[in-house]
Amino acid sequence: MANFARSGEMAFLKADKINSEIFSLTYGAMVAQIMKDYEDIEEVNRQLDRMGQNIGSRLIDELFAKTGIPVSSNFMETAEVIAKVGFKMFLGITANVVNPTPQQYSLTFRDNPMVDFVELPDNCANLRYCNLLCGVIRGALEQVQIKVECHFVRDMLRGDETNEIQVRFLEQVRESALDQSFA
Amino acid sequence: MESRLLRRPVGTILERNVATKSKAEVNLHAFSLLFGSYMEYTLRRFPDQQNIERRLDETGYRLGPRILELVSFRERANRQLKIQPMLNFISTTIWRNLFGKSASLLKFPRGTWGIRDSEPLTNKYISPNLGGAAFIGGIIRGILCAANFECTVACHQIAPEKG
Amino acid sequence: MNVFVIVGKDDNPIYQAAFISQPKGSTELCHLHQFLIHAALDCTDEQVWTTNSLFLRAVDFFHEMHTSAYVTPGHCRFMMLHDQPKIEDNLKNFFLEAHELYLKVILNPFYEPNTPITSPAFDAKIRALGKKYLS
Repeated sequence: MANFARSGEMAFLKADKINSEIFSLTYGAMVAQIMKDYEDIEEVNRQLDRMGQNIGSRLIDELFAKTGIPVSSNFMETAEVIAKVGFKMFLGITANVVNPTPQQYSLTFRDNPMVDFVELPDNCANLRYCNLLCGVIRGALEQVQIKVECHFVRDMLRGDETNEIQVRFLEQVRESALDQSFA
Repeated sequence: MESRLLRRPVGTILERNVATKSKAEVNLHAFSLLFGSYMEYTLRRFPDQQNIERRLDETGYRLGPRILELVSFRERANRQLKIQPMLNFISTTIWRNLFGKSASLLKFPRGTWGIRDSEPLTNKYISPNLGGAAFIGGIIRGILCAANFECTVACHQIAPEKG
Repeated sequence: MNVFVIVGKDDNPIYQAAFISQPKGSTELCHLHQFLIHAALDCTDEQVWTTNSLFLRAVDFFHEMHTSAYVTPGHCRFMMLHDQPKIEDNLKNFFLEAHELYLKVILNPFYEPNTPITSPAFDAKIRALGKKYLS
């Protein structure tokens, strides 16, 4: 486990970095734009998730390339890799794994470079501002044939004391199932 | 339907310190991945290639005034009255605040200017042919319009050149 | 009596706060203020290009009311209508702190530029500034 944390830190240290503000400002502008494109907030949540999925599927390669750590196809083992390597090397965040079971685990974190300056207005109570992250996790795990459901159970933008993403195991996707999609 | 109401007292953003820049950083790849997925979203929603650049420009345009106010506040900068000092401010101070480096300011005939950035953030790890730099162009346009340089319809023409 | 107004790009007030010690007939006052502020806007818009200072002291004096202005680099105009000439430093400090609060509001990606600022917390903080610098 200590290895994962160190790998994550080293990868972050060696990476080209940018100030988190340009990142959060850009993300904010994107969310605001998507909200203009879709009236329905649930649809916005879906679009954010989908964007995340798109990222997740590409992110795994980058993670492996920079750290040499393969993301395991064992569900429980993915927790530490995501928390200690994934979050750290891309967002510089320290995340923790909480309550891991073979069926689900939670990832908690407090700092979040996506939400500088953000305050949810009253009429956006349903908006999952960071839903992108859930999509990223889902998309990344799909690459190792694990299908999960992923959502925020605690959100600091909503007044909670920490952020918590719950990752729930759905099924192992067999390789043959992927082959079928090309038939 | 979300039954939980927002518990966080609205207005805590007002307690936040904006005077100093956050020291937090993220991996450049995180930005590129985010930007790439946004371009993919835009292309999905608006399949016309020309539209992508216009949409990215619009997204950047939203940011322009905010960036101008933020950087000016931190640098205790005054209002710019003339176009050249304004563009200088953008290509040096604002560029450094956003991207950690300066850009070059070029002067062309007939009131046209160029801001050259040899490696714009949006084109790192993403093919420049996809038009990502239009986002930065939009930011510049937003800044100039916020500063009331209306005469620069040329602000549409001021796009960061690549390389 | 002091009236503080933040004016958006379309010359529409996006925020308003009256610091009145003795409220007179309020509707008449309101109309008069709107008129004076609009008149002062023209003066402000001229002066804005003559100096790059954010703080423009007395831009107008009409009908026994002084108007001072403060224009941000993004050309958002803060106007102060007051019947007593103010200590310049107090006015300046008020504007500076209001500027910082305004900045925090506009950095929120959910805030649509040039729309009314409705946050009660913002209002409370401006009123606190009024007590601190304008009484």
